[in-house]
Amino acid sequence: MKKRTICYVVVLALCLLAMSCGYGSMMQTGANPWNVSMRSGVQSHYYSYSGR
Amino acid sequence: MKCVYALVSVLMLTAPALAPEEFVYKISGAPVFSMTHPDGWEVLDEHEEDAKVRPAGVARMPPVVSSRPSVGQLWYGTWVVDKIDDFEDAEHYLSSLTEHLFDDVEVGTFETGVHHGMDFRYYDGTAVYLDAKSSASQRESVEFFAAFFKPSDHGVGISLYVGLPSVTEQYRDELQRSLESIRPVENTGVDR
Repeated sequence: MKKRTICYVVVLALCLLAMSCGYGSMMQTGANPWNVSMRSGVQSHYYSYSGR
Repeated sequence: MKCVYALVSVLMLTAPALAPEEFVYKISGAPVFSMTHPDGWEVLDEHEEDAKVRPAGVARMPPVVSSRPSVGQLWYGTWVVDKIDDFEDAEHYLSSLTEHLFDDVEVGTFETGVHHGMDFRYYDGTAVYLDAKSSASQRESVEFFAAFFKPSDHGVGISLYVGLPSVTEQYRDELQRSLESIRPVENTGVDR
């Protein structure tokens, strides 16, 4: 296998790794800290709501 | 030429992640409605809940499905409230919910609409949100909107958005398209 081809494969692998790890962790931790509290608030309200 | 192949490969691999997702909302495996979340947003199909939230012996509430962009302080969630059956009840539910979640709630405009054969009712407003789970305990002035719809004979669907005013402006068109994409799914009893 030529060196240039190996280089392309390595770059592509690094891109995929960055997408799956770095981007994914950014989505999980830094993007939206309200998610847990809002969901919990909606759920706790649902169980306490008794209607009109 | 090899650069072209590499570029095409990367585009093919990333395209599915960026395409709008058609999401089918289900209760106990039965499809109720479908919707498209904004392009590139992560969809969270939330079946989990805090152990302290649900009283013992009480049936689990229908799932709360939310989606979020990579950047922006907001929450956009959709679920079915099976405790109410009409829009008049929905208005009372919204009032109770916003008082539960926020301080200084002020409901603004009210509109009606029809999408995909379903009546919608929209409310928007402003409030102050205190993130109880945040260590910062910072109070934020937020905008919210709620859209109610009836995807089936039982229960009322609600989409609730909460966000900072600057974020609302940034995503207004995408959120509008997402709301308008909500359509009922005929319940065939088949788990899709």
